[in-house]
Amino acid sequence: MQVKRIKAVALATAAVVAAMTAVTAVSPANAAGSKTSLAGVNVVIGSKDFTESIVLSKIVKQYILAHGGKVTDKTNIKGSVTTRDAMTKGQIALYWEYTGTAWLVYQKQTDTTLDPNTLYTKVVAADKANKVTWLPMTSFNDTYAWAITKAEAAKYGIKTYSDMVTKIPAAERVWCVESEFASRPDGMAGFEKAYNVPSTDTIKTLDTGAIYAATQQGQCTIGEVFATDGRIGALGLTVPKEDVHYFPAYNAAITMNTSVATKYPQLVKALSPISALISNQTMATLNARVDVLGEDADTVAKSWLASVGLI
Amino acid sequence: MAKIKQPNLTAGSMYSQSARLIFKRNRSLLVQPVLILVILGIMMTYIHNHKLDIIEKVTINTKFIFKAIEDHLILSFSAAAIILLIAIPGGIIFTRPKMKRFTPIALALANIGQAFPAVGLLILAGIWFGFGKPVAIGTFAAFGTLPILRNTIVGLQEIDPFIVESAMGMGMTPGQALRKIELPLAVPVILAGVRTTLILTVGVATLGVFVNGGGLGMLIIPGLKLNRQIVLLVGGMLTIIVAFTMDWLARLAEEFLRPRGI
Repeated sequence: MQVKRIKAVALATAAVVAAMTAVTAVSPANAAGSKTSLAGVNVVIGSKDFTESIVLSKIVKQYILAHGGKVTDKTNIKGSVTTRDAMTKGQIALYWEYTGTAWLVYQKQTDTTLDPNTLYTKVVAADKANKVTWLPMTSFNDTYAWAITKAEAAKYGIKTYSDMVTKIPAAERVWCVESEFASRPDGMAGFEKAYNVPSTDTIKTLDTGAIYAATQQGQCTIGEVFATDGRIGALGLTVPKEDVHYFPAYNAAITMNTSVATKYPQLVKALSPISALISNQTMATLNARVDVLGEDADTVAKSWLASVGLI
Repeated sequence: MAKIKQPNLTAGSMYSQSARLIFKRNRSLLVQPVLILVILGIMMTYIHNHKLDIIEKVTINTKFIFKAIEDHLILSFSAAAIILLIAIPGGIIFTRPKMKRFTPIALALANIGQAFPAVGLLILAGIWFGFGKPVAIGTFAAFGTLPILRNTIVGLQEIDPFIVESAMGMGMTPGQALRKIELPLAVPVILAGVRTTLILTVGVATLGVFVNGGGLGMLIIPGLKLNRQIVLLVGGMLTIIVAFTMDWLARLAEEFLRPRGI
């Protein structure tokens, strides 16, 4: 018994170590990562008030701390606009923003058909005047998405958004959206046009968080969700493919008060490679560790940084 | 404490007073309608002088706004009606001699209702009972019962027991004493509770947007999230206008129902 258990533990440890080494070995940022020194850097870090934003900022926090810098943690600020104001006014040095949000909300633009790269370029250019510096964007795109239960998807053979409209019987189609989504140009009204959703379909307006549970329960057949939310997988939901391009891009990037970027060029250089390492899948896993498994965001950030060899 | 200036407290005629007399006596009743018109005026001017962008146009249009106001009125009036139906009879029952020992329990329950975080209670109720107006109204009712229940109980308890006793001594049954003595004397305190609840309910009804209940939250929440101040302000100002109007109506009721001489 005893021997067996020790053997099992040893095996498991070996497997973990092997996995970590493998990850470390292929990680492109490794060389730059662990040798960087950020001694002398002293910044206040903010984030918006939801898991993904918090986890992303905690990654930056843990990274700076691990490389000898100092950080004041002001994550979890209520509301996007408040967070952005805090950064432009210099109360916080940086936080992660989404290209789509900056474009539509702060820069008050309305064209939502741009591809991710064009959008990023335009947003960065427009924000120069606002004294906001954008670091490179992530490959993950936390855009709006539709979720249905896996059971529903199997029952009607749904693979794409168009399938949802054509294959689910009209009487069963109940769309649940958040009030914000109901009233933005890249929201429900535009989607209905792009996918020919009949105006007779039922649309319910719910709280963002409630949509996941309501969709799982069947109170909603089709729920508006965020593509990288950990609850999609945890609640047995699935996101069909967007077969007609409609939703704008929401790639995340660190936005920094330009005076901070000028003061600490080494920080900009050190943080820039991080975003390339975060894919949709990575982000969903990190979100799920916090939202579903209940892990502490700092712990999740630290262990991810270690797993990709950045600390 | 109720101060008695006139000896005749039982006459049924004391409920009715002419409207003109009331406005003459209490000019402050005219302040609210004027204020409502001023806010409405400011709002209309603001909208008129603002070039709406594509996002603002989705919500700032008559169809959307009237629907939001209609839903808001349905939510707050239904919730207020349920509250009145539960809390006033409840308050009367729990001050009857036989039921007095249950008063603390009733108040504790009402306190719990109000102490729940409104949004949390709403969404939980939605998940349990289904999202929609009924759940929103039920939750708002649970949330707003306390002020009226408490005021009804307090209003009835504060009446000098000798007055009730002498009424009984004059041959009144307990029912008569309640109708002709206790309730009229408690009306001011009860109505103060009604006004508090109405305002509270109009405010809380903005949360209906979270559970498919509609209402003015349909303007406030997107206005906040999308940083469109005009949408937020119109939603907020309309909520104030609805609340002021309800409060004004309640004040009128108060003036008409309050027994003369108290």
